[in-house]
Amino acid sequence: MILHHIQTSPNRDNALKLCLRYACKEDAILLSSDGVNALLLRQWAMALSPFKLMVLKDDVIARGLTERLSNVCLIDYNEFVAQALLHDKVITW
Amino acid sequence: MALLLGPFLLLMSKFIIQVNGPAYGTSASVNALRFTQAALMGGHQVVCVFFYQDGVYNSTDFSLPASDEYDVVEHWQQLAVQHRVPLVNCVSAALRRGIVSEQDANENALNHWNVSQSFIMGGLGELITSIESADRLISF
Repeated sequence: MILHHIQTSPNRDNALKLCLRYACKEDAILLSSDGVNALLLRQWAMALSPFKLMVLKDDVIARGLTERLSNVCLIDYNEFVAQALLHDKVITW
Repeated sequence: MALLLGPFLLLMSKFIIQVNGPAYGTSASVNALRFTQAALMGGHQVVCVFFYQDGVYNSTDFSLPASDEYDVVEHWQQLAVQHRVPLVNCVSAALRRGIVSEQDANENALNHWNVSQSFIMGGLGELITSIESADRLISF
C-alpha cells in the first residue's frame, strides 16, 4: 500500500502519468502544489477516479479552487503525516 | 506483525525529509517545512532534513526577502534550533550551484561563503545512512 505524492501539474511533466502507470488499486494518490491542477482537466480527473484520492487543503485554497474541488477529499498537514505512516511508503514522483 | 507495528508507528515515528525544490519558484520548500512542523508537533522525530538538487538554495544566508514577506529560509533555521533537527546539504549539489560553506571557501581559495551555520555540508552517504534508521522518507 503506497501513498503516491504528486506535486507538479500533468501539463508540466509526466509525474502523474508515470505514477498512474505503476500505481496499484489499493494505493492512494495525494495531490499537492501544482499537482492539484490535474483535477481541472477532465482526462486526468477520470484517470484518477479509480484511486483513493487526497488533495492538500492549503494548496487548493492558495489556488482559489475550494468551490470547484468541493467534492474531493481535502487533507491538512497533520493528516498528511498520518497518511504517510498509514501507508508502507511515500513515493514522490 | 504489521498490525502490531501499525499503531506503534503512528505514535512515534522517525522521518527524513528531503527537499529538492528551491526557496523560491516552487512551493516544495514551504510544503516540506509545513510537513516537518506537523510531524514534530505530532510527537514524531525528524532525523534530518536533507537538501538536494535545487533544494540547496534554501541554505544561503544571502537571500534577503522583503521584511514583510514570509521567510522560509529563516523558518528552516528556527526549526533546526528549536527542535535540534540537523539541516544537511548535499555538498556536491551545493558547490556546483555556488552554495559554499566557510570550509569549502577555504579549501577552494574563495573570499566569500554563503552557507549559514545552521546547515551541515554532507553527502548522499549521510542520507542513505539516515534512511537505515528512519521509518519514512518524504520528498518534496
